[in-house]
Amino acid sequence: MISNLFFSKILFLCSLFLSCLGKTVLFLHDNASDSELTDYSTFINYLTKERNYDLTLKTFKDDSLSLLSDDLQVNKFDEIIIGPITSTKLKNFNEGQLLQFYENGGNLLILGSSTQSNNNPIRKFLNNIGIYPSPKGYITEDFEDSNTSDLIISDGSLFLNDYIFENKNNDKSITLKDSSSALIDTNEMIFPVVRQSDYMKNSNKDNTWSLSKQGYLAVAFQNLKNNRIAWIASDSLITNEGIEEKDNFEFIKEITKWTFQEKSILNVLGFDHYQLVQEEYYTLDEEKQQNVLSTREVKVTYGEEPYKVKDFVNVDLFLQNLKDVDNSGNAIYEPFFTDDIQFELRMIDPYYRLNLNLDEENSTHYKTGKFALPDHHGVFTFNIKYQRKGLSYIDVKDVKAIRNLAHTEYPRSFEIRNSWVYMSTIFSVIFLWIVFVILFIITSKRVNTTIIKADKKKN
Amino acid sequence: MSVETKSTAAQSAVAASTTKNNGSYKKILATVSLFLKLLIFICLIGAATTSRLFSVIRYESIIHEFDPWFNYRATRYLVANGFHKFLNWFDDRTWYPLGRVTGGTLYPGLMTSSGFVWYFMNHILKIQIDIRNVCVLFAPAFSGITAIFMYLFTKNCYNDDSVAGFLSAAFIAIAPGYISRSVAGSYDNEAIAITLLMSTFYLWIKAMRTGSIAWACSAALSYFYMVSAWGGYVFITNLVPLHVFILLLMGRYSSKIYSAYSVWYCIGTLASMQIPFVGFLPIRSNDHMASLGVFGLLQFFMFGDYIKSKISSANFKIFLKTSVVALISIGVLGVFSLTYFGLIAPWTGRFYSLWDTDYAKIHIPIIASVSEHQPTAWPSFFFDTQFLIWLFPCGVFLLFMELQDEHVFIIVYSVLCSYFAGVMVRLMLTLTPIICACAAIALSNVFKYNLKIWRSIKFVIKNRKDNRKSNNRFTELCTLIGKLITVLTFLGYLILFVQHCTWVTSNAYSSPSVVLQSGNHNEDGSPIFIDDFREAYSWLRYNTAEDSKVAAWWDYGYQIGGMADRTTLVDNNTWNNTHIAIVGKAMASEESISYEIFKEHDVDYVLIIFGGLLGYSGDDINKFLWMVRISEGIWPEEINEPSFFTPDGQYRVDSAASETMKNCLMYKMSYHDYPGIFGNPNESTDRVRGATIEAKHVPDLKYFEEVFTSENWLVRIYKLKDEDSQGRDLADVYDLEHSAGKKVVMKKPKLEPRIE
Repeated sequence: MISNLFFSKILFLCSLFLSCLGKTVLFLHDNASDSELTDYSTFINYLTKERNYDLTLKTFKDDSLSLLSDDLQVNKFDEIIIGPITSTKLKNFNEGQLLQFYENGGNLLILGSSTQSNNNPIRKFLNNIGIYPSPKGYITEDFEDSNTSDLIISDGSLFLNDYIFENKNNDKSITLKDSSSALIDTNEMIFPVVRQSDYMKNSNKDNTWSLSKQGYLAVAFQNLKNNRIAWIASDSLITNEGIEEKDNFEFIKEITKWTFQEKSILNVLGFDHYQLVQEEYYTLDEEKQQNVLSTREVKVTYGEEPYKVKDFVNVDLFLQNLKDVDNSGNAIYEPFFTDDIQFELRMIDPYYRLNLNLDEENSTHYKTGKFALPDHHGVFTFNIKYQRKGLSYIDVKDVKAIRNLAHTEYPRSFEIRNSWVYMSTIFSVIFLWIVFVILFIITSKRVNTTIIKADKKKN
Repeated sequence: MSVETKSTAAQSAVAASTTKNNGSYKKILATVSLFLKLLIFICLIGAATTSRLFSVIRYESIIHEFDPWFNYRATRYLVANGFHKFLNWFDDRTWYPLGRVTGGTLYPGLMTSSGFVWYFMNHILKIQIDIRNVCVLFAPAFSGITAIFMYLFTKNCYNDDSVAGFLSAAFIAIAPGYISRSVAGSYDNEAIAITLLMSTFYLWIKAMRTGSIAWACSAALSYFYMVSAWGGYVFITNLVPLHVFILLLMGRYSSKIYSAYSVWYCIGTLASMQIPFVGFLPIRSNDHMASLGVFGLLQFFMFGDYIKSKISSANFKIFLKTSVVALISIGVLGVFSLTYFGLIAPWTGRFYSLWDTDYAKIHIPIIASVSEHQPTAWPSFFFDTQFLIWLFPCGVFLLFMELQDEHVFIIVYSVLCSYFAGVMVRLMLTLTPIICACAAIALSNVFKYNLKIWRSIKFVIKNRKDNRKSNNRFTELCTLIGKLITVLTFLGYLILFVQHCTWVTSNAYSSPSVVLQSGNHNEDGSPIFIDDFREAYSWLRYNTAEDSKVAAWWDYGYQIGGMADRTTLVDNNTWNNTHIAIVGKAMASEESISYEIFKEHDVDYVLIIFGGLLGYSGDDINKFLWMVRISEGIWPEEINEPSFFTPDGQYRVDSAASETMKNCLMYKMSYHDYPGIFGNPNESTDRVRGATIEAKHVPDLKYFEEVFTSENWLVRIYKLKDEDSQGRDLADVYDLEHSAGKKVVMKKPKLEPRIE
């Protein structure tokens, strides 16, 4: 048993090692045999040849199908593409496995269709995270067009997320056939990608599932661990016939890249905060042949000198965006320009929210500039949280204590002008007291005292 | 006394130089008496110290209870970082996330004293000793010094009667009332404070009797030390002025009192203001106004005295009448207006609760929730002082008979303290010294009269030969027998007292409360210890991240900080009522709300004490109503005490418990998985409350998971589950995992509108 475990662990280590060479992708489909997938050959060729993925094709009913290691902690594949599913009862594939795979760090590209079966694990999984694809037999139709079941999405306002599919010039369009549609709940982690147009409706003979803006044709999901899911309403996008139409190929390429974490990943290169302290130093003035005193600002980290109230602090964030991954697996980064990243200084409630500005010299460098810590001691959280739809989430934080001033760190009394009044009073009273004592001693009757002293001595 | 005997011996030697034998005889006697006195002191210190070591012998060398753990932690910080850092210590590991300016909010006397001892031992004497051992043995060591000061105090207060002094020293050395706070390991402020209380009083009496500035200065310095050590210094701040005030009323103004009090007040107050925690309290707080008032009054008396010597008595009467009326009205108006304008802080809650025992219960539940602040039960007076308690009034009566200046002090002290000890259990501690002193005075008088039997014996024996006054001889014999009976009776009492003290110390006051002794014994007769607290704290220390935050009721804050070294939300310092109420609210709310509160405060673990299995009645369910009350004080619309009771007003935990009770976090955590541990899978008995807990009445925990339960289930630790990474509610996730699976939505789901 132990050796078995050990062996399996080595296997996983090997698979992890292999995965560095090229991503392992599982293509799950519901066709009787792999050869029937010739309909998808263009797309599959793209995946294997162009992207160099290590693609495995399997049907849902395959007995050897397993996504996870025995202890469920390690995924056997990096990503999964799920084709339309028509079967219902599956022995060795359920939504629990899929969820576990997803939580372990796998990404899922799910293709729906109007003929998809009702009671299947994929649907349960999607329902679980708040995506509700239309049931079997519901078709999305476009009543603006004569051929209602062919959807042409060309209006730029229907493409909702530029980070996933960029359509800034509003010149892209895609087509879908026999498409389903999805309703989504209010979960903030769902990113709508393509919406139904105002004239589209998803229905069967009797019932309507989604009407115009309610329904979505492509939806993405990203959880807190930045694992991604994309759901597309129809598999017609990846058929050999469909993929060549309009910008479909580009669309599916971008969606795949996004889902497999090959774009729109914000990479935090660094997050730190430090004090800026004025330091005096001497430089040699060569003309005058003497040392000249000048000041400069020096970085002092928390480790060197813990913060105290009202210290001046800077916060830096170094950031870049993953633009693409080339065929040989090298990441291509680009600078990320935005003005809405905020830094938050928090002790239960936020004390500060400051916008980060891009450094003029370094395009990866965002900074708050110098700001004074609040006049309040406590344990504060230095936090930058940046969560935008389509981009990976940034949540970097550092919990640090801001201490109170030590009793030696307050200004001395003579440095405070207001206290001079009191100081002069104190010293004048002391002075007058001494004068009084001296005068008292001088003006006392000396004769009496000497006599008394003499008397005492006699006694 | 020894000095006097020496001097008398010397005088007699000079005067009766002719009878040289006699002189040398007296000299020898004086030496012997000095030697005996020293021996008595050594014995007293020995008795005081050794009887406090029971806790180390019965258990081990360990810091006791709750507050001592903080003091210990602070001392370690002092030893490691030096005095300057200690004074400005900002502690970010308590009261998360507020932190505590610990250096400015503690009485540093205890820590600096033991830090000094440690430094002296290690760096000057070069004796390697661990700071923990210094701390554990600190209280016993100081109790020996208390005995010496007690001797000096009683002797000075009562006509230089050294018998009374010795008796009182012996009493204080072993009286359980004092031992309860000063056994080895009880490293608390009170351990050193009682010593300083007695030394300050002794020096005050000395200063008042002599009128010497030197003694008054020493009294002020001792007062300063006391201020640095214990918040109870306010007792001295009020007692000494009260003494002076009563003397003034009795018309006993003298220049001695004037110089003693003025010097003591000025130096003492200025010195006490150097303690950061006290700061400007002496001139701002009402608690200190009495001493200031008496200081002012004394100046007027001095002035009046001077006027009196200059003008005629008829004029002086007019002067006196007008000035007294003017003074009183100015004083009363002044205090009122200063309080009204907020220049003087009003009386504190603890002060009000001294006068009205119900005040705290209604207005400040946090003070009432401390068991130390409850009124004292009658038997505990006898338990703590045994036969001294009824000798105490006799002593006071004897002092009334003579009523000298210093006697007034003891009378004032005993009257005030008797009241306070009746109101608050912890003030029993300040009453004990004066009980010892008064009882010693009474007993010394008993012995002084009844031990003078040598003459009677001689008389009885001689008369047999003379045979003259047989009648007289009989009465003499009766007196002799009477005296003997009295002496023997009191001797018996003293023996019983020693036995009682030893028994109480070894059985009642030596438990560290960190380790409990079970009623059962091992096969070899050795006691079984219940070590659940340390088991749990060490689990925390070794199994959780170093920066993890532990939420627990405030009672355990110091222990978690000291033993587990983890950050806590609230602790025994109780300086922030709202923060405590937050924890109380989390414990008393439904799970989802508690989870939210705890997440907001970055809590990782929740620790509770559950005594149901062991029958440990001081557990969290029994304290729970205080949590409810304290949080209700802040959020009355969310927490409602009656909803935790059954409809007929009972506090129950079994099936009859109210729904709010069953659904609150504390209930769920306490009884999580508890039904079933006795064999019957569906129910088990709570041994503290004698209730049957059924499995179906204990709701599942959905947001928390159990990570640790100690051997006897005394401590249970729960971890907050991580937020669901898919953003779902944890209760939904739990339901999903524990049901057959959500049905697929085939009907159109009802969804909230989405805002983009």
